[in-house]
Order: sequence, then C-alpha cells, then structure tokens
Amino acid sequence: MNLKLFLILALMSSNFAWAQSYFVGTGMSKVTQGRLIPLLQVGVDNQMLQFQFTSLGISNELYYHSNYKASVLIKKNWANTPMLSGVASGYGLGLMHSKRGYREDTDEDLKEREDTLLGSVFRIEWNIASRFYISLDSFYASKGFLPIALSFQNENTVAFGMRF
Amino acid sequence: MRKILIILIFIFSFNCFATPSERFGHIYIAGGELFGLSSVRVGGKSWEAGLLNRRSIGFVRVAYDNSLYLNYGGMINLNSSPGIFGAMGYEKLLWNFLSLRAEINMGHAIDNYSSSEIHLGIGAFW
Repeated sequence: MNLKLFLILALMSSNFAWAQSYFVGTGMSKVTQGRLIPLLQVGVDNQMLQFQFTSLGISNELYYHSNYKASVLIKKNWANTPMLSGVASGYGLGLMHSKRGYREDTDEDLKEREDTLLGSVFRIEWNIASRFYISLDSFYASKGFLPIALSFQNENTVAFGMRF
Repeated sequence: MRKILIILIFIFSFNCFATPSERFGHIYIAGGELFGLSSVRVGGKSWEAGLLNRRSIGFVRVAYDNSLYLNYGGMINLNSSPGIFGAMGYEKLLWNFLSLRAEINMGHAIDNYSSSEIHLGIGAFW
C-alpha cells in the first residue's frame, strides 16, 4: 500500500483516548522557494499535545521531490490571553524524510538522493471559524555544525484545514 | 492595495482586546543565519514594527505568558507581496531595561514566497 495512504489511515483509525480533535489540512509549501508545492497534513491533538503528519511533493518529467514529516508538539493555547483568542502555537520535534530526483534531459537517468533529518518544529494556528484554521508550520533541521551559526535546513508550510 | 486591505481585515477580524502593558516602548535587534543582522523592530506597548526577518517588513502584536511570547501580524516581503507573519520565543529580562530573546519565526506571502528564521536578539525597553 502507498506509504502516505497507510500512515494517514493508521492515524485516522487509531483510537486516541486523550485526543480532543482530529484535523486535516491542505495547503502549500516552500521547499523550493516560490514554487507551489501542494501538501496534506493530518493530526490529532488536545490542549497540551499535538501529533502531526505532513506529506508534500511535486513531480514532473525532469525532477521530483517528496517530503514526509512526523512531528510532536507541545501546544500553547493563547485563548485566555487578551487579544489572542483563537490563536494557538506549538513547538517540538520533527522527523523528516526527504526524497528527490533530478535529470537535465528526459533521456538521462534520474540522479536520486534521499535523507532523513531530525529537527525542531514550530507551529502557529489561527482558528478563523469554529472548525476551520489557517496554520503556519516551520521545521528546522540541523546538519553538521551549521546550527552553531544559526543556519538550518528548513521547510515551511501554510495550510488551511478543518477540525472534527 | 486591495491585497493589503484583505490582509488587514483578516488580522483585525480576530477577537482582539487592548492589552495593558507596563512597557511604554522598546527596541529589538536580532541576528539570524551566520549571525547577520536579521531583525530591527521598534515597539510600543503590545506592538512591534520594522524588519521582522531578512525577507519581511511589517508589524506584529506581542503577547506574553511569563517569559514565553507570541507575535502575529502582517508583513510585506521583498517582492512587495503582503502576507502573514508569526513568531514564538523566549525572553529573559535583565536589570529591568534589557532583554535577551530567542525566537522562531515564519512569514508567508500571497506570492507564495515564505521565510523562516531562528533569531537570537537583544532588546531594550523603557
């Protein structure tokens, strides 16, 4: 079975007694800057904790790029804070698997590469209506000694989703 | 102009209340990637405006929960495209007029360009 489909179904069919809501979102990402890359995110959360899986990718004759990210976040709900009703944020850890291929001509073989990265995750979410939200997610992966200079490999996503 | 108005309506459509703040004003300067200058913000009470990160200029509202803080607001990127900006960080106050900040931020504009950075900065307030 397709890995993405399997993970989504596994997450959706699991019985999380602690979960207060499930959510599904779709949107776009910046993996290659400015290029529209569609994404799908699913997750479960309660007032304190959130588990989230995000999948995104793009493919054409010359290249493809797929990212799969699982993250766990500690949530901070700002609803009780004046002026921030409807806003929640979170930070935590994420694990991302990236797979990509590229060729300069359709006659050539694809040069493929994949890597797995562990990093920190940040999320801010606006509940724009009772069930609908807009979220900003960013993932900062550390590789080598670059984080010492505040340099990270990152993935940013924006999603529009629904809770149920 | 219409895009900017839509963004402003979006931001201010949330249930917002004025927050009393002990701070009259503050300045925040931060370094990002390779410790280059990434953010210069001037603020008053629960507002900040200026260079939010290397690719965004805009304004944010600030909310505190002890040392944890959240920013959200509107921004314009290098392509003059408007968007939304969010940040979360930790601020440690020193001697009642200086502060140290560690911040994670991200902005996304209508033209689909986004930017995110991790900042280490210093602030002064009065």
